[in-house]
Amino acid sequence: MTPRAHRLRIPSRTSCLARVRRHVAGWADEAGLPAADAFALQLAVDEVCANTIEHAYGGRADGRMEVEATVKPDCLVVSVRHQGKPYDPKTSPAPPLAHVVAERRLHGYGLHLIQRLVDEVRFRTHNGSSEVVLTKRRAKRG
Amino acid sequence: MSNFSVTFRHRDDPAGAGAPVCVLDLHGELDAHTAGEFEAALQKCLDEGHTRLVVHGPALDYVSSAGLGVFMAFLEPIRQGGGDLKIAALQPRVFNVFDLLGFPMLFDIVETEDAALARFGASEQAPDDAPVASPS
Repeated sequence: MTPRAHRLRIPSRTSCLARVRRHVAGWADEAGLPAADAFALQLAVDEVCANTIEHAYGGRADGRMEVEATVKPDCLVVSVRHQGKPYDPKTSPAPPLAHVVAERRLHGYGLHLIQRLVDEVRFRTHNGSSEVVLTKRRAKRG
Repeated sequence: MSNFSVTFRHRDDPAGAGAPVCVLDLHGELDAHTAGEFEAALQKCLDEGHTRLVVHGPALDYVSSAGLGVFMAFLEPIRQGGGDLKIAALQPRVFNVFDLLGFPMLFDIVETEDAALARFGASEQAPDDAPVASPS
């Protein structure tokens, strides 16, 4: 299978998250991911985009995000690129649940979810852009 | 346009001993964009003095951590008010998201609305012995 790529450009607005999820669903379908894996990837990409809006752009709606998907023979790779403040999901561990209850907020758990939902999370910066790259592998048949 | 909504109903306490239970039917997708609507709905319940709440979720198609954060934010205020927030009839894939973050340790999550109502008679806030839903 020749890798196929897709790209979606969106502003840093939470109103665009549903649109991102629809696109990820389509890409997952094209990649042949089972429904449960497709749902997991939709959620992981949603969490990355929501974190980008909140942390990289500080809630500003005038930023840009590029969501790119590459359908490979054994996996689907989705990256979220932005020009906001760099943040690495893997350096922000989730606090213990007891602290979360006491503080009545769930910050940090989107990142925790991302790592549970996909097979690989990578972070990289290049020429002023930051990118979170998620890989969801296709389960082997037989 | 929002793809999420909340509607309210009231059900009598099946044990006949307590105040009516407010049932919130969630529809659509609960994410970082729509979490504010859910937050406003729960705040409205508290403002009106309702602390016996059931979130009824068969029509909830999606939840992200932003939505789960709203549940978390209101748990203690509701319990401090003498009530509880119980969760019923989630779709399996939505339940899995709650489960990934350990929510069954904190909330009564049951398979039907009636089971949630019955839990108000059994215990206001004791998830430890609750029949936790575990859809396959």
